[in-house]
Amino acid sequence: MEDELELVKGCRAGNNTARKGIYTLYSKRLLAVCYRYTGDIDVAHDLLHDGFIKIYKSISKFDYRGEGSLELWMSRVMANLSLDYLQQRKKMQEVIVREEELPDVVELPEKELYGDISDEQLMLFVTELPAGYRTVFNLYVFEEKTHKEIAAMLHINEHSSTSQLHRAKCMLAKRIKEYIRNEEK
Amino acid sequence: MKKNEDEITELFRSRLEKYEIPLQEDMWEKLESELSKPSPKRIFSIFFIAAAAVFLLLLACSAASWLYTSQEKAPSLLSKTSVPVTEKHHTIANTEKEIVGELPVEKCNEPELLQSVNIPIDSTVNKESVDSVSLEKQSNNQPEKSVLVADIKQDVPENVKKIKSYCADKEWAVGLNASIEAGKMFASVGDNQQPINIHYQSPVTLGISICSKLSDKISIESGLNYTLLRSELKEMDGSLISKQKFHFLGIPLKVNYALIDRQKYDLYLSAGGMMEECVSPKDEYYSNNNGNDHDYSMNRIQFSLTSSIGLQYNATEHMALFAEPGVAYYFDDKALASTIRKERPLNFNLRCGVRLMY
Repeated sequence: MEDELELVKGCRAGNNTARKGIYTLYSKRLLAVCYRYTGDIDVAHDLLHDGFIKIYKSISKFDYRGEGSLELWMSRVMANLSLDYLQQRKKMQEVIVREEELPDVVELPEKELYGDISDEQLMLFVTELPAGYRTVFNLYVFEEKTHKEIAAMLHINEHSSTSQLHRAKCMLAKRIKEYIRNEEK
Repeated sequence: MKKNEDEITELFRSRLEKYEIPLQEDMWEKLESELSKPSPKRIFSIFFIAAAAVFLLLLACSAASWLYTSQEKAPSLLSKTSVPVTEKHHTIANTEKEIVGELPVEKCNEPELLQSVNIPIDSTVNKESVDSVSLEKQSNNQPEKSVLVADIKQDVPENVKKIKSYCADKEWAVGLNASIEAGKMFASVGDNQQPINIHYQSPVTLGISICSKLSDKISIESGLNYTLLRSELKEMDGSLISKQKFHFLGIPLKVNYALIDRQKYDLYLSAGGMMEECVSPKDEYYSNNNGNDHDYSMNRIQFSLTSSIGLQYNATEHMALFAEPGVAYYFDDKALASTIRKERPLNFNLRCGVRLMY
């Protein structure tokens, strides 16, 4: 996208119109990224603010590699800020592994049943996950990291990354089923 | 099970990847106003500038005190002229005699000084009888001179007495040092199927230090340290995934206690702490072989406690070599990126360097 590259160049030059341009384009989506990681909308707003400051400051280091690369880079900045936030507040350690609660199989109901659930509701399910599960889930599903990479990033055992992802999925499936059951009533 | 897991992943990814949340009002305005502010440098950069300034000031003070003391000891032109200047009118007539003799030499060295002295000389010379004034003042001035000479004479034997230790009468020391710590350790992350190794290399530190003597036994030391931490993430088969480099600037503060104080050797204990800031990468974007970038944000401060025993060899009166084996404890800086500080908070180190004393 030509325009996007122009915006990036504008931002590098410190042009406020260009800055507002990328802000208008991506801020809502990036706010969702922060919210998805932190599970707290107020914190997400703060991080979005800090994230944009960081983006404008370091955009000279960003290497534009075609369409999508800007959004990817920006969402990574937001994700990393969110991870820092979680790590600093030791939110990640919130999860206590309880082996007995682990279901073996994650089952979703029929597609027709969950297809009607709104995006907003799905987002709520993610944000309601315990921080540790949510972090691994976010990194695996949205950043498309491997367990090995997640383990290295979070400095956790790779097995713990695998199991936390599994637990996250179990909880999400459970929430979806509960939701459908409540809707049917 | 696999299929269902993928279904969940797919569901959330497809529905939430481009999900948007409407913003609170005036978010952009707040951002814009912050951007238009003259970019506030981060507090700790200011802190480091301040620390560097203090360090330079200390250095300047110590250098000045050294210059001052060395000049006091050597009877110089400066000390002679300083007497008449402070004595003003009383010695003016006397100085006139001296200055006349030394005029060509002094003119090039101290033109300002001379001017201030010259003006009153002319007036006094014109008004009064030079002979009587100079005679009177000379007698006044003579004891002062002899005091000055006595001072110098007293200093010399004192120095000789103190020579049992070169450092005993030195109040300041400036040092250059390098230190290396135990490193090269492996940490395995991951399960048995896909573990990765983190290979930490020995941290290397370079520093300048300044030391001030508080008493015979106790001295206080500070300075500026640069530390490099390196690590490599490797597959089990040894292939490199990525490399990490972290640069730290730190300010140590230590108290040294002298155990043995000899002419050629000193043995001392040190204890203190250090505050370090990761100056780079603040955010490092680098690629691994998957083409993915990792951002290791290290905007953090690392605190540590240190303790060491030092052996100093006094090579000359003003120069000494020292070696300090020690131990340091690094507090968790809560940074995301894994460093040897996190893996091995308690680490041994060996610091060696040169000290200049005066």
